[in-house]
Amino acid sequence: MARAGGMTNAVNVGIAVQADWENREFIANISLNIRRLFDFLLQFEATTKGKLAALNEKLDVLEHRLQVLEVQVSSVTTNPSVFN
Amino acid sequence: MQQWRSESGAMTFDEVSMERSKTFVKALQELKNLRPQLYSAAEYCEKSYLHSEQKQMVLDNLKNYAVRALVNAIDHLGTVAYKLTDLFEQQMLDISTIEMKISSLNERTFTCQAYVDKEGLNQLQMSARTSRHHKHYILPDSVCNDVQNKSHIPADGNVNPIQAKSHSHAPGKSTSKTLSWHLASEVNSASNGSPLTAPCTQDAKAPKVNSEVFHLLVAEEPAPSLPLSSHLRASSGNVTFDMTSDKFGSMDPLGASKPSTSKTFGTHSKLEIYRPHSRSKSMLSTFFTKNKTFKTRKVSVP
Repeated sequence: MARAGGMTNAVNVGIAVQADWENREFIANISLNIRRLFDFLLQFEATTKGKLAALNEKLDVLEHRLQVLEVQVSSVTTNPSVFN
Repeated sequence: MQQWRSESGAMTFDEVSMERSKTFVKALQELKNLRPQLYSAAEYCEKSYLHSEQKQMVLDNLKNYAVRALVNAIDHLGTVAYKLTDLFEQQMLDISTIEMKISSLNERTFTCQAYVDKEGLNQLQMSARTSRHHKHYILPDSVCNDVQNKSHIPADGNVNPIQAKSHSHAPGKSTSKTLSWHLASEVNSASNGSPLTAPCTQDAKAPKVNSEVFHLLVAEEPAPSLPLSSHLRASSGNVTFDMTSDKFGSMDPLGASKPSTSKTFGTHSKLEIYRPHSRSKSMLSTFFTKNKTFKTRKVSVP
């Protein structure tokens, strides 16, 4: 009886260990995927920042060019006699 | 993006962009709402595992919920990323279109500026051209026609070298006559009988006066007088001095009354070209104001 009890205890321990190992595996998988998600987020942030910076630079350049054009057009409209 | 355009075909470009931005904002809001949901689910699972008797079942449920929550979060995150990328690409497309339009405007302004600069340069060049001066003095047609009518080519072979030079020019060039031509014509007209008539005289009375003077000269001096051409030839050295020495004195009404001898001729006798005061200015004098000295210039006989 004692031996049977001992054997059941060993089996239970074994099962518990196995379950523990499964749980740990599950947790490791979850944490790995969360880390991958975190890396994806970081990479996404870096690329988005770079693209937005390029977009901002393009917008600045366009703004300056538009200002120059605006000044040229205003000069023409204010002094039309020069071009007649 | 194409689905949006097919579904909302009647919508304008701004409306489509607004819709796109709205969906992005919605997806982002949903992702943000996931955080409190996950926090509440984690608290519920912790309490139920602590207070419940069937811990294995709670654990299994917790595992399933964690997997589904993670998949849901990744799904939401992907949606947000896709919406953001789509929005960014649309903005880039709009900016590239605007850049092309601005470039075209720039090109137009550059073209206009180049045209204005070219026109200005042409105007400056034209003004520069008008200020040029011709090398020879060119007389107008009306004056030259009068000169041609008055001047006569001598029949004899004794042609003044100046005349030869002038006649070397093309006869068809009546529009412009050089200075040398006018000098020659003046000399020629003088040799023909109107000794002091200018090639082109503006005053019509001048030739008449000259003829009157000529007649006066002839009346005063009984001695025969040679034409002016002979005197000029003497000045050029073509005729012997002995023959013309006496005649020189006879032709000079303003100079010495007595006929000049060879002595005086030898000692630098000078030929004076008489010009009556009543005569108007010759064409040459109008052009050469400095040549008043030329009138009284004395030709030294070598």
